[in-house]
Amino acid sequence: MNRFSRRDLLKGSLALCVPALVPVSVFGRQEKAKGGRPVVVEVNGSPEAALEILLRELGGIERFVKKGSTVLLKPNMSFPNPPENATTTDPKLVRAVATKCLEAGARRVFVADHPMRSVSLCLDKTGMREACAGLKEVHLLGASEEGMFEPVRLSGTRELREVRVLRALLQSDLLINLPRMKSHGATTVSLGTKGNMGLIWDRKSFHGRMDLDQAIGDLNTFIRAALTILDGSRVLTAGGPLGPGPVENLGCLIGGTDPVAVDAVGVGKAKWYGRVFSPAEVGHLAACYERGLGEIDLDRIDLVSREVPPS
Amino acid sequence: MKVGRSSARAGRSWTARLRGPTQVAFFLLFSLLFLAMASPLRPAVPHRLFLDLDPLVAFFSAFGTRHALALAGAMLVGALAFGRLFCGYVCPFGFLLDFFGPRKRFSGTVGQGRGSKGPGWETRPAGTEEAEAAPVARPLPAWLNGIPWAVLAVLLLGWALRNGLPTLLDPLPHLSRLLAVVVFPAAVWAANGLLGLFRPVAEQAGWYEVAYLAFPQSGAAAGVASLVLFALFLGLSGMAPRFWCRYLCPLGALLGIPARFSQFGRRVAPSCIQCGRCAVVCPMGAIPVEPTQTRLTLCVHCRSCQEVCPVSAISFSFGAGRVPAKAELLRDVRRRGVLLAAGLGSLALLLTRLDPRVIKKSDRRLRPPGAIPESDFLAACVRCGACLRVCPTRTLQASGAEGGLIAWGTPVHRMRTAGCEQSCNLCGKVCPTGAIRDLPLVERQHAKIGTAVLDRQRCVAWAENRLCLLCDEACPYNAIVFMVVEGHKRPVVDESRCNGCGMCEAVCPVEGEGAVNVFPAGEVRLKRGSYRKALAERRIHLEPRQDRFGTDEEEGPPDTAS
Repeated sequence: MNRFSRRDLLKGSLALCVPALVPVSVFGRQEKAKGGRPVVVEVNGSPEAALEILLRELGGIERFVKKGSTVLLKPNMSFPNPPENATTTDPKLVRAVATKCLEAGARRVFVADHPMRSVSLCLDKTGMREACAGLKEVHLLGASEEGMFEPVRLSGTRELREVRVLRALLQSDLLINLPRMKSHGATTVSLGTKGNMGLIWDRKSFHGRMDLDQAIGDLNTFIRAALTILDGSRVLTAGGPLGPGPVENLGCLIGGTDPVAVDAVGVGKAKWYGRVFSPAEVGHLAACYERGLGEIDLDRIDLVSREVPPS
Repeated sequence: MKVGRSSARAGRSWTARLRGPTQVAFFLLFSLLFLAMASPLRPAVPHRLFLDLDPLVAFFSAFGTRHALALAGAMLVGALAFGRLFCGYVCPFGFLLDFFGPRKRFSGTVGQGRGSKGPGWETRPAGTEEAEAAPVARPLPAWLNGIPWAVLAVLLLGWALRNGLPTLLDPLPHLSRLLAVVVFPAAVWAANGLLGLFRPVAEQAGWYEVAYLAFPQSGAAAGVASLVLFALFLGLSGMAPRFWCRYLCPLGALLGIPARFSQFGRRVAPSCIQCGRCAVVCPMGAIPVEPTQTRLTLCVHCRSCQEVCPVSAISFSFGAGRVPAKAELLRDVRRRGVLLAAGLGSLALLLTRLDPRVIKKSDRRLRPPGAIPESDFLAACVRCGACLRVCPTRTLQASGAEGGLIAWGTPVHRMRTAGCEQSCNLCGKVCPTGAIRDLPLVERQHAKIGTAVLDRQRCVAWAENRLCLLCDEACPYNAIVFMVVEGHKRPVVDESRCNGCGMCEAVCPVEGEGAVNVFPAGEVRLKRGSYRKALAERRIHLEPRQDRFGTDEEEGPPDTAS
């Protein structure tokens, strides 16, 4: 329909996007704790209180959010389900993180996803609209059109040569990934690295034309969260990503700067489809590991476990 | 001689002067209510007002599950008192005919007309000077006078045959449908295009919510035909202003029956000089040879006659001067014409019913959840397009030619466009006749639309060993689960869990027609009673179900392993 005019427009507006391509290096940066061992923090307790401790353990939000920066929070708001279904991120966590970013001096916070279903329904029924209401400079974005994405060429990848990435991501200084911990039929689990598929336009080709696990690995060479916090307050242990399925009240947050290590710890936290999986058995995590994007060997990850003190 | 319009207006009664603004106001109300229907305002506004006022809609709601008879009854009682006032002041379709159609307009003032100079005539668009001479009425063929009766006869037969097709002629659903399948999709397309153009600007300005705003595109299925139909109705005005209202509008014909006995109407004082000007300007042909009389079945109270009367003999008040009933019914009506028109119309209705696609149900006609059984549905659906308008995913589209003429304009699912949102029951909430039942969400989720069928030869997981499972991901009922076959995860459909929502069909990455498609087989259509119970009786369980990891086929879902 209006595809042609938009494409023309995109070409015309490429000039605008050149500065936006600079943060590529930021997303590609890989952080490791002292001694090269990634640190993953696990905190049990209510999302808000657990977030407080988790951020403290990781060196404070100021370590990630610089004054005047633009932050993109990527929760899962893919389906029009309430957080109780454990298919989307708890809006309370999203609000708490957004507030933290603003307190640290962020100029702007995007809360963005590319929902699988009707955008307005998803934003309403996940509770995100309500959670983000009243927060100044927090923009809740549900993408639904190709024009909201920008083509990016990838080099040195196996499956994915070009990918259309959410414009808001390219306009951000920092990505904080806030996935819900849940099962996934095709990829066993859907955590941080898999959740990055919510920042691109054409996901069907990942399934229909490419090797899904390898394509996720490729995607993660470009999109890299500076901070990943898994929402494990409730976990959908089977029937994911949409459910319905059994929900386990794990009651924890798992966070860290190495997205692969965080996912690896997450995999070990629950039985998926009634079975224990090692991170290496999860195809897309193995693919990320092979690309040097992070650690999947739990023995080489420093796991810090904390508890929210009873009040 | 030309006289300015303002002076002409000065001579009009205040009622006549208010008519235009009133029509505009009601047209705007009609459009705004249509817009508000899919907004959060819906429960607060009478979004069905116009369709509820329509006695024809009420008539066909006999086959549906919603019977809003009060307003429709009030319309008929109103017509008994005030004739076809509705047609002249309220009907939004009548307004469009007045607005776009060619009009005969009188450009002199009544005061001048009484003097030595004759009143000036102007015919639009072909205004000619010689028309200034004595006005000559060009009467339309008399056989047309019987057409309204034929239209009513076809309507009755449609009712008897349970064929809702005659409602296509009903102006209110017609206009509502036009908004739903033509105006609204075009507006959404334009809005999204503009938003796309504006996106870089919005981003620069920090209006990110605007930059990421887009409306789901409604399909314009049946849009072209709707537009052609509208143009045709409008074009008929070339023969006479309001030709449509005069001869073909079934709502007008129906209102004409009680209007025949209306008390308030056109009255002509004895000072009438029988000049016949009123008969020429009357857009409805409501003034017979004897101009002191009025065909109340036709008069829409537009007061054009009052405006041109050189002796101000015409008033609108109680005690209307009606044409004697017998004369009105028989003198002007050629019975043969009526019979022929009614016969042809009825035959057409019968033929649409005998369409092989209808008899054999050979098409893939997926009805919205809560749609009543098909034979009732085809009678109760007035094709107003309300359900198409409110559908948030736009999976509901108007049926075009593919379902046969009888189904034209009725809602069908286009699952390839989008699946049916399980947390939504809006289509049933707005249906004016209850052709789609107004169901609570739990019931609606058990209203089975059809059954998904997976074509393993086209499925990339089965035929190419790809790790796809998008359909499994999308299925809200876990009716599609994976099993490990030959070392590969592959999707299977468990029919006993399938709601037919079509989410799988929408996401399937296979190009063109998907590898998994919903067919109407297994649909549950109830006019009354609980869908949950009906499903329990059929041993269909729309409850959570789990995927199973396993290394051999036996561990897959047992009832679909075959």
